[in-house]
Amino acid sequence: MIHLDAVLRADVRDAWLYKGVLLVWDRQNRAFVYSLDDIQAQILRDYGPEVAALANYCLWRNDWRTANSTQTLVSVPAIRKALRDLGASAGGTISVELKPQPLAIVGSLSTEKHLLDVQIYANRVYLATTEALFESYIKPEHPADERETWPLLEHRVADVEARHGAVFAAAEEDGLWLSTINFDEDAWRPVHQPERVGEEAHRLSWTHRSLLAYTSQPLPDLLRTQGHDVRPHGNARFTAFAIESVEQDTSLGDVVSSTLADRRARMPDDVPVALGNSNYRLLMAWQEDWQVIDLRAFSGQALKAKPDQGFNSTLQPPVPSNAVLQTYGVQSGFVVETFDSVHLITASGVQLLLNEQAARVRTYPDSVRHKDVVSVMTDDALHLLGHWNV
Amino acid sequence: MACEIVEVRNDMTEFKACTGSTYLSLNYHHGAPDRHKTKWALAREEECGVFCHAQEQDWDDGDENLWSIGQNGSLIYGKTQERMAFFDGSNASDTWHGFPVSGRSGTSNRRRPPQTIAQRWLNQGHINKATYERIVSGRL
Repeated sequence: MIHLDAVLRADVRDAWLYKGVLLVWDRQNRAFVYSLDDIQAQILRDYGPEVAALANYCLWRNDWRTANSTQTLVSVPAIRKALRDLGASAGGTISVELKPQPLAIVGSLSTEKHLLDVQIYANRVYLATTEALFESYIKPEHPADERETWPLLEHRVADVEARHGAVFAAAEEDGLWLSTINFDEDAWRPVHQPERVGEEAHRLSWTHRSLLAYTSQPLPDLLRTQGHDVRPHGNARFTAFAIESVEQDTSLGDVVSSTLADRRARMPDDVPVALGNSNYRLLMAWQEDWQVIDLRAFSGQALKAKPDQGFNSTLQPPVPSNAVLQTYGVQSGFVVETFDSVHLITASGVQLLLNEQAARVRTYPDSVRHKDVVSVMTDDALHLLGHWNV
Repeated sequence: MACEIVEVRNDMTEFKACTGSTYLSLNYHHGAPDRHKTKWALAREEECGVFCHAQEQDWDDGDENLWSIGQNGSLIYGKTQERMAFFDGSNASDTWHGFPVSGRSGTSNRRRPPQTIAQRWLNQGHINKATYERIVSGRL
């Protein structure tokens, strides 16, 4: 496996990859917009075509269309050899320094509050801060354009997730909030007041169309969504599922327990803990062992689960479970953050991504192009990390 | 002046802390980890020393509580990897007790240091920016 570490030396609080741009928020919460084409051109200029090819696939375009054509190219022995030689000569990780010039600082995507989370969905930008949740807008063709910003919720919001026409805000002990999205492109301002749909939520993650809301309990709340297929806006060619409400599925604990119990005997006072999930894969810690459970939370069907054969045959915990600060989902598995390291867990095993304290880690599991990219903000840099099994 | 043991009782050890305050090391914050009370991974004298350091540095949250953290969060105070400590001074006049706190997502807001304390630690150079970000976002 070849790893690519593209480093931008800057004071970065958060970063998003979205439709050809890199959005970076500094520690004053100002939003800088960079062109990915400009960054790629610099990599090609400074590091040559092999590294540029690696960056193009690992960081900017690991969607299925590009993946198919790229994998075909890599099946050419000379190309595969060139990439393998590149990885071998760099000891497995190729590091590049990014020196981009921002297209602009966008005021409407900046905030005066301490930014805790960002979510970009359907050109809507959600800024979760220590004091409120804001909604703004970005047009990918004109990312530097200033738009309006609206307050959506006046609470500290630790995590925000948007999908299926709905935005969920985890306001910790102030509850979980749901708001439906206004898709009117001419008047995109929020029109629906958020509704409190849960008592507590510290972190959110999707599993199929359901939402896992992580609380102070060992297992998250599983929220099954209800909605209808609708045309998001008047010009839409296709219908899409739109969430209207949620209902808690209380069977998660029993389903998880019975799935784990198939493998090992339960001990008194021994509580399985969910470390996190990557879409339908739930990473469980139990008896100092880690197991991945595949959840099947399909609409109109009872929740089911089974042990994940691919992960469980190779999974070795890189650290004790109580040393895990947070986990993050990527297409190929899980990213595990500890006090002084960041690991990638795939069905192939565990890889150390970064041996450093992370100020923040961000992944893009809902993205089309960046499903396996990991962004790590450290004390003085942004690392864009990608990998490729060549 | 270091912490001095005043009395060992059935449920606590009483110290005269370095600043002259009374510090109570409570038994239920020592021993095997459980889900109800966090447990010190430090000896009782070291626990009192963490309190002393917080008091000397005046890491007061303005609500009669003190908070502490090692340089860049590098010290583990609790048996389940807690890297910060909370000292409750609101119960009685100049009598304190404390316990390790995790500061992680899922921890009650009351058991996480306010942003003003984290900012003070950052301004003093006691923690780096990464640790500050982790405290504010609940990942330490």
